[in-house]
Amino acid sequence: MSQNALRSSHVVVGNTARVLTEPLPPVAPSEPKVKKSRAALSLVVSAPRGGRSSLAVTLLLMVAVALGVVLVMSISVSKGQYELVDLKSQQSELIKANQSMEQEIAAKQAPQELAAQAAALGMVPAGVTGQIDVRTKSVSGSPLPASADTKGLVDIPAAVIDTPQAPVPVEAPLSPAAQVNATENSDAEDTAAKASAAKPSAVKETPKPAANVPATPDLNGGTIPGPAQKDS
Amino acid sequence: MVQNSSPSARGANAQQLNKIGRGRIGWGFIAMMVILLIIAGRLVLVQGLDVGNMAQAAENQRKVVQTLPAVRGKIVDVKGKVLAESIIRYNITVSQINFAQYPEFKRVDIDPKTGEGIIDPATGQWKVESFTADEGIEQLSQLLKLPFDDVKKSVTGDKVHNFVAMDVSPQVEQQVAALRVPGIYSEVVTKRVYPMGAVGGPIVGFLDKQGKALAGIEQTMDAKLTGKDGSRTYQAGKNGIIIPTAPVRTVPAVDGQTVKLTIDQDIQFYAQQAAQQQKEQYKAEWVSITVVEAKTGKAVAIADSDSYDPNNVGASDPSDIGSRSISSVVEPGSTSKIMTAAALVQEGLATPLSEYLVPPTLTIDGQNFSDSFTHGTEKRTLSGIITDSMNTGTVMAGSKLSLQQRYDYMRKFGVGEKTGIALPGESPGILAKWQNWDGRQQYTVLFGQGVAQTPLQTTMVFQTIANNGVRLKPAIIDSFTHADGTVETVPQAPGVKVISPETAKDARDMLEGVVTMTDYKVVDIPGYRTGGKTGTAEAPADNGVGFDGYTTSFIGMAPMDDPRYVVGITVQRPQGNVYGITQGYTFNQVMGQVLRSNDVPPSTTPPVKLPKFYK
Repeated sequence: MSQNALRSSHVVVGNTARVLTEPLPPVAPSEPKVKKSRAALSLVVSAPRGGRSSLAVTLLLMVAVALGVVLVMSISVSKGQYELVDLKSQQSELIKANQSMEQEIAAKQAPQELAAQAAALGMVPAGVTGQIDVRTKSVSGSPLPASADTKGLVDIPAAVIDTPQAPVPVEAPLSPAAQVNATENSDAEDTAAKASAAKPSAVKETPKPAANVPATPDLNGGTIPGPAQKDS
Repeated sequence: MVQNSSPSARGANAQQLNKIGRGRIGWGFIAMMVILLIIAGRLVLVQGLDVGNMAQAAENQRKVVQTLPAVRGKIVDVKGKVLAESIIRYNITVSQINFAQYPEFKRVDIDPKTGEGIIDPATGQWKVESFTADEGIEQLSQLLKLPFDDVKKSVTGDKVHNFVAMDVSPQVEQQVAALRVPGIYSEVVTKRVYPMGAVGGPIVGFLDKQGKALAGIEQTMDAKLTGKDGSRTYQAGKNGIIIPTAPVRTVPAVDGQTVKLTIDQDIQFYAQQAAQQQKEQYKAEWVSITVVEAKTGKAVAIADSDSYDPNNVGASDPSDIGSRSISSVVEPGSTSKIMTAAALVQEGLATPLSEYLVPPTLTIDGQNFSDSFTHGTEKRTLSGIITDSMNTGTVMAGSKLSLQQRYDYMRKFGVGEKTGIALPGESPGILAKWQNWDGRQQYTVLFGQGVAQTPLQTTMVFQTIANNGVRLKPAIIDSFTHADGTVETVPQAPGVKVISPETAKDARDMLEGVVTMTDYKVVDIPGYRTGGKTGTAEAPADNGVGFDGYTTSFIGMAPMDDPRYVVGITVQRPQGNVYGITQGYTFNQVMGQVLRSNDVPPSTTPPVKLPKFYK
């Protein structure tokens, strides 16, 4: 405090300095005291040193924390990504399963199918129908119970869907000369081929183009196909 | 010596070396700077100025554009039952080379309940089972329901790609994949399926293998059903993996619209059954049954015998492809007489009770007309002429109409023009200009000969009468549902006023007379008043020379108090005595089914019975 007071009392700017009217008091005897007190002052080094090192530690910690956060985030993001891929594939599976079930329902709802089911349960079409008038409590017409031998109208064949189809064998076209050769060479083979050609017709379906484009996806020179997700 | 000389020599060497070294360093520095400058210059050229569009080329190389296919819209019936939809199916394929490499293969046992591998408690490992290739084929053939030999044949060989089975469902594909048979793969395909098969087949139409619409609604509504493919543009490295930091641009696909028809699949099924029944019973060439809502013109059923299954078009006779109800033209015969009668009433030339003295045969302008039954000279009302379908009486009454009037009325009833129904291959029918009619044709058109109509056109003539004289455009599309769920209902097209409501009422009374006053009462739907008209015409031969067989028909409506439905039945070339053939029973069946399934209340008013004769 005394030092501060001293310092502040010395701070006097030129033109505001008071004009000395009296001779200065003798300062000589006090000088050695002052010197002594100055010598006692020493550099205060501990405080700044301590502050700097703590700042460095703080910064390092912050960096470490930031790195940690980034690490956690990237782990969780990649984990989330895996989960997302998983869920997306699950979704597509479910969509497919749902689609199949819907289609199965549609096929079961087809009138031919219902008629066949009803017939299998022993149901017959109604014969003569009548009307009941609830207001007059009368029955008009001459309704008769259906007899078991009532026959329905003709059946309409059910839709041809979803029987796994064997691919239609496509014989490579032979040149006429080769054809002659082939027939000469093996009659047995010929008959076998005929038999196999006749077989697929057992499963009724329009011929599928066996010469379908081989479905190798364009990998742009790579080996892993890009993820096949729709949208986003 | 050594001690002396060495420091001096060393000092000289060091100095020299220093000098040389400095020079080398200088040169090296210059060389490095030059190299650096070159590299830097190149960098500026490549990176900054991009001489030769390297960046663009690189991006193009990395850029991958993937198509996101739009799903084709569904076709559903009026109750929302699916008539056509696109689904995912798989083709099971094989790499025969890969298959041959593994005479034996192993797979982990899978618990069917959890879908996880079963862990063997003894070893703590997954239970692994081993199978021979033949066992694998056996398992495959069981799943695919194909003969063992066929599967074996398709998997053995040296092809890289061969098909084992086509069009298997996703579940089966999953099971096949779970078999883990080496070399067996699958590929996804989109397939159009028609769950109702032949029911409504000719209406719905089909696609060819390339997905091009070839018939029916698929064809006419192709633009609506087809969605807009989307795309995904991304950058991928050489290994095909997407570069995550590069931009990904996705244009989502817009799926096609769902087309809702006015067809009711249950009625359609019933009508198709009835048509098939008639065809088989009379060994006819074909039978058409159309059901139309009288007040809206909506087609409830357009049934053809031998309808094709769109899932399996190849199995059908090519001549059965298409809908005969709208594409085949036949002479309508006596069903046209109601047009003549309506025109006479509308023009004020007659009423249903106008009196005509009808001779056994009628000769007019040198043309001789007779009836299907023999009769003496009879005192007939106009209604009586219609009831017993007399050609003589119709010509007698109808000859009061001018040729142009005859023509104009037929045109107004829709003869000679397409109805405009949204199905491909519609025929306008054949109606020659009245100036071109020959001496006999000018009278035969009065009773439906010398003119040709499609079965649907004939049905629409009766719809006009049922709908108080306003002919509507037959509608088959109820609404469109966009991919985003908005529903766009197709508005009712404005009708054509053909006759006045009063004339239509008179015409309906005459049609009811056909049912109530005829000698052989066949048409009878208990509880409902019905009206209609039979028709029999000679069918012109297919080669255009003379006639060959007959066309018989019955078009009717019900309930007569306020007609709701019109049913038209046309049988082409039935075998046997045509006058013994009646479509009345079929009409009873189909119309009865329509009325009952649509909860139409029974008639409450007594039927109209106009006298056939006057005194």
